[in-house]
Amino acid sequence: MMILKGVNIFPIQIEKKLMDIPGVGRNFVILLEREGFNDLMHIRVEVERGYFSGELRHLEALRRRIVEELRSDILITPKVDLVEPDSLPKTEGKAVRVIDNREK
Amino acid sequence: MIAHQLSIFAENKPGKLAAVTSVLAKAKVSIRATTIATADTFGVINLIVDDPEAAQAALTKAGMMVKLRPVLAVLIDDKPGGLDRLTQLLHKEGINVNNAYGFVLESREKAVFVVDVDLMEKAEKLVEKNGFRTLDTDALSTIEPFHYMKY
Repeated sequence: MMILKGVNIFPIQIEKKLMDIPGVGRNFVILLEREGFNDLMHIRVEVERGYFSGELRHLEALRRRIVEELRSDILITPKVDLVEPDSLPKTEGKAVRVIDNREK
Repeated sequence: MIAHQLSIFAENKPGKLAAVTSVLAKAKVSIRATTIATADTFGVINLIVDDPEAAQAALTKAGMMVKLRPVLAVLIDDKPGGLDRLTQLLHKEGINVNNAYGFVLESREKAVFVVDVDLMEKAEKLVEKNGFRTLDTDALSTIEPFHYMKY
């Protein structure tokens, strides 16, 4: 579990939500950062190979959908980046990747 | 005739374009035209090349996400109003252009304008009916762009 802006978030919630969105690939990484007094959630998500149409607007629509679906679920607006398939470390089983860069 | 454009997904960071051109150089693929569309942290590199299928195979083998997209490559006059004639025609028929770019074939004579539209077949028929020539992949790969000797 992680606490962001006083909200408890379970990485599995994010994983479940992401895996239900068509176009999302196998792996993702959650980065927690602090900017001034604000906690930020930054998620890097692999795109599924078959989803790529060659059009930027489809990628941008996927990115926006990920942001919207996560915001309605975890009440935090994440920054979402799309990355190439197989470019992130593999997520195996329960080991969801969370990298906390906030100063303790 | 329909031509093919290579569209490659790329993160917006140093070295991504170099990785693409390096693969194409090794595969001996020649690039005719290119544009990059970016949305913050990622984008799409669009290329017109002489051998799209070989390029797609080489880039896919290198792990990249690549798509061949049908486009219209329309031959226009390289003089004032040359492009306007084409765009006015597309406008009049309500054809929306998603992406477009051009390159000169023969200075002050001929240029190629590449358009990516929603209604590809309708647009193709329309421009050909109105006296434009469209080039397919074979025609694009055999033409010799830019006659430097004229300068």
